[in-house]
Amino acid sequence: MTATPAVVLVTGAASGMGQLAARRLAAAGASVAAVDVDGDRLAATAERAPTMRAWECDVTDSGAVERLVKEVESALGPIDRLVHAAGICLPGLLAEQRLEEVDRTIAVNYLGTAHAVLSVLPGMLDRRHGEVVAFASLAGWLPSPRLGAYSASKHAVVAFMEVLAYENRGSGVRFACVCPPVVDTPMVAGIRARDEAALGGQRGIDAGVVLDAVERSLDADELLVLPGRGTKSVWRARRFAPGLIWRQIERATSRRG
Amino acid sequence: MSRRSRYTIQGQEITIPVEVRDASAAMASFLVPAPAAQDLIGYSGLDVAEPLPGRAVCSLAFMRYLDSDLGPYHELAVAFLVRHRGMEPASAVTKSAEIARGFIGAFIHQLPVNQEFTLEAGRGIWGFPKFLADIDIDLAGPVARSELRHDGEHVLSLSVRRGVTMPARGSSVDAYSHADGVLRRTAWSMQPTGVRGRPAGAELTLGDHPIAKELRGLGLPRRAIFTSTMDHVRMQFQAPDEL
Repeated sequence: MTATPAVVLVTGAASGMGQLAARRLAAAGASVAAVDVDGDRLAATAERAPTMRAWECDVTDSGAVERLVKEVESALGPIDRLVHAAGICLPGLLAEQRLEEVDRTIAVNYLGTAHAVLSVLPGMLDRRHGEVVAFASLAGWLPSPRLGAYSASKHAVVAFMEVLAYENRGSGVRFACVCPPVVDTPMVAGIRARDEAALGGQRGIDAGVVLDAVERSLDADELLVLPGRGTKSVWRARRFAPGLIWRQIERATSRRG
Repeated sequence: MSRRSRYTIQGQEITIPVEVRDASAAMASFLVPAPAAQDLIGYSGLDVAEPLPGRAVCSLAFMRYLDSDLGPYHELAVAFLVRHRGMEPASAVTKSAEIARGFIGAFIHQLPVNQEFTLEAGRGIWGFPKFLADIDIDLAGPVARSELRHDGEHVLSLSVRRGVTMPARGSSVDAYSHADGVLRRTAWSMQPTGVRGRPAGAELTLGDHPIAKELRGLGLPRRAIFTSTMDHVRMQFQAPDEL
């Protein structure tokens, strides 16, 4: 059985994947620093969880994230695992997307990842121990119409994590870059509410399945986490037969009408 | 007698029914000698149910609570099927029929948890036999596993192999508990999804802890009669009746 990490920092902990990760780890007895920009919902997540403490922080602010990591480590001890799940998705056709939405998407999804990961990494490298889990998306492999800004930001996360894992192989720190398909979370509900066509008829997979796959990948020291039935095949098709994937996307899009 | 509708635990108000919005669970049930089971739970004043003459049912269940009024935590239950308080003495045939007709309750004999808030709430509200322990639970993959340690000592390890998909029906059970000389009955309902079950499928390893010795006294480990897992379960606990 995998040992529960002693101290974990979870970003995006007020909802969705981050909230579930924070609750699972707290249930297992880990000291969890639950971090989110939404203080009210964060308080609800941490309620009655004796081993969870809430910190309000905006991951787009690099200085705030650095201070947060110092504060968490002095309160709870060295961070054994980072679960970086903070992210946003503002769907829409690129030609119609407002520039500030593109900025915001890159700031939260890519820069937020860089801020969180690079703030915890030096301590982990010194201790030659730690786990860095960052949420990208299958859209970080597969350019996805109507999700252009999001998809681009997640491509950046995948590239960042791949280089990071390569540069720090043999360091004692393990890396997991999570690339799930559509997951049943409030974020996905929000995407559907804003742009029904962005996800078509895709049904979301269970968030628990994604977290189970993260644990398996950390155990096996595998970087890419591709949870859900068929996800690995889509990833392979994108790598080896990109033309085929675009034809399928086109078919799916024309079906959506 | 009217039941209480709110309790204060660690300065926080808990309202009845206590809601569990998301939990996951695995369970293994074993047929054990009824006289030994009866000796073990005799302190409650309840009689074990006997699905087969001379046989009682002991169930071990591990639960991961994620979203609940009592916070996130792990729990491991040792429970016995019991006849309801006040039922007339019955023949072996009648006792088997009681089970078939669902006329039974569950007596919670041991209920270790790994978090303080649920410990205090469980003992304070329902008199559940909760105590603090280390409980590892791994529900990923085809085998669900749990390991229980108390005071640094290994109590038991239980693994449950997932079976075939089963209909996920809601159910209500009367849970009995006994604390400080008082027997309590709590209406407990659950609505599971992602239910799998099969005959056998459990592997139980016992340590030297007193709880392990109790289970060994029931002839465990042995082959389970039935095992099940639930991917998600919602539950509601009412306030207890003191009997």
